Amino acid sequence: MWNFKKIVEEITHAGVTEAIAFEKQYRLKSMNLLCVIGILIISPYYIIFSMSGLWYPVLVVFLFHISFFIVIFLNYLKSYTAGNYLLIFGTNMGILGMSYFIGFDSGFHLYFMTGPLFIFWIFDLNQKKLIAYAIALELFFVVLVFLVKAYFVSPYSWKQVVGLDIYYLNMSFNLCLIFLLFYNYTKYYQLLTDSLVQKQENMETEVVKRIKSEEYTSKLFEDLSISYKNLEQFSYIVSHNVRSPLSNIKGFLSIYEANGHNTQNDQVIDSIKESAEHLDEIIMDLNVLLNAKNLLLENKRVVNLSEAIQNVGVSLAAEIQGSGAIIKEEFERDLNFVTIKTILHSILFNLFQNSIRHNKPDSYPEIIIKAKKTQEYTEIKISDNGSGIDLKKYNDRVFMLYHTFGEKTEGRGIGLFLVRSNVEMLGGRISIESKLNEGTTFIIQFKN
Amino acid sequence: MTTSAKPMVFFVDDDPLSNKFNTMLIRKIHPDVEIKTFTKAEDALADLREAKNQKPEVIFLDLNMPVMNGWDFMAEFKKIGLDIEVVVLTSSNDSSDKAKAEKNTQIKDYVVKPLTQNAFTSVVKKFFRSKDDE
Repeated sequence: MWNFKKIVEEITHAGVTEAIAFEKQYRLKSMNLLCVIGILIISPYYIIFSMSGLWYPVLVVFLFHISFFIVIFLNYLKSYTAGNYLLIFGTNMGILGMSYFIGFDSGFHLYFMTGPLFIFWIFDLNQKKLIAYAIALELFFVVLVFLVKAYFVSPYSWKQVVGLDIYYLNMSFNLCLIFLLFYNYTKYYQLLTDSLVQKQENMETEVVKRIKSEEYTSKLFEDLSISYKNLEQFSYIVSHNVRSPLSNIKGFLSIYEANGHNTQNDQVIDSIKESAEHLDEIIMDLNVLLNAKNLLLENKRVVNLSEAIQNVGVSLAAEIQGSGAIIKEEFERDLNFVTIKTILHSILFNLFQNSIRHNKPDSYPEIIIKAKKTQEYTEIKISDNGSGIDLKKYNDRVFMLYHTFGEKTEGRGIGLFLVRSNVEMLGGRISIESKLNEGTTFIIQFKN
Repeated sequence: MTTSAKPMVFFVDDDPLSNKFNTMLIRKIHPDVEIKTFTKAEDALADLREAKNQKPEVIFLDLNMPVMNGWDFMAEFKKIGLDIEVVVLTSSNDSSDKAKAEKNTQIKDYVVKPLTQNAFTSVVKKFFRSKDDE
């Protein structure tokens, strides 16, 4: 058994490829379908005409059929324009022939009214030239109809057709065609709108995807450069600071006398113990530094600077009270910016602690915080009246690990290293201004 | 300079434990060598500037020190204009430190900590030979 629907589908897909635009694909399918419908609609006339012995009209119906098949074949060969014109020319010739043979009152000429409507079905609206030619062709046939009507007499009359009112048959077929035509238009615009909406949605998701992937890439790059910097720092710490107590242990072990029990061996053992403790301390510091990187996993959010400073004040309450330090805020109360809260806390904590610890003797530490927000940067300036650093001497070493600069400093030289590392983690930069015995100012800039 | 005086070496290192170890090691293998240790590079410079002090034959210098590091020391040391061999003795096996030390003509050797008997002997031998040639 052959599947009728499948065959029609096969035929309507003649010449339809993915290579042509969606709209044109649909128009082509409609045109092929029109041919199939045409073939089916005129088929009954074979029986009607042959039963009535009207052989010329049978021939016209046959030519009608042939032209429909050729149109489908031309489409199949992708000669779309030729197919379009053959369809117009063939149908018009058929209608004219039929009207001539069995009279214009048979109703066949009604198809002349519907014919032009199909022009806008089979052509693309922007093929203006082709549409104009097609309309010209239609007009030519209208003129021809008048001429044939005026100068030729039909050899048969439709009244000869056995037992059928051909006029009403044609009229109803014609109405069917008009209905089909509008149904097709509606469906076509529905599909077109859907496809446009779909396209737009695809485009939007594509844009969103791209933006996301770009953000992801830049974030990845940022993370990677931070990781690289951390690795560099880590390698520096290992080669300079971890190796130092370890080499001491190694050295002391080399002079340890396995069999002797003397005072020197006791000294060696004590020193090894001390070195091991030193090593442990350094590894703990390293842990602190590496743990700080985990803070990056925290989300950025809007932080009020004044609140952040007050929180640090709470954390440092004992040291502030002990030293009699004063913290002054000289900026707008509502200065907010987006950052990772914990890291900002760590930065401010270490800088305040630094200021308190490097206080001048016989004076109370005074920390002044100034801040301003421009379009590009949030800038925070933290000044103190402490002992200051001789920057001419130590400029490149201020932020290095285990570097301290005063005679009586409490710190172990880890604070400012952590501060710089934290600022850089947030994508900011830090600089220092200082004069010996006059105080120090740290300037931090974060990109907004 | 009196030849009767014992040969002397300086250790300039901020880590007291390291100085302690170096002293113990040298006492053990060369009991006749005088040793002076400094945890601050400035103190070592002050000692060298003092004319009446005995000058060391070799200075073992650490690089990574707070306030005045090994390179600062070398700059100041050059100004004093003494012909003393300097050997870098550091825990850093950083290649950039090594390259920098090689460029400095006053630095005769680069030893990665801990100091060993062999390393010290080879350094001191050079010095002894040059002393004998005089």
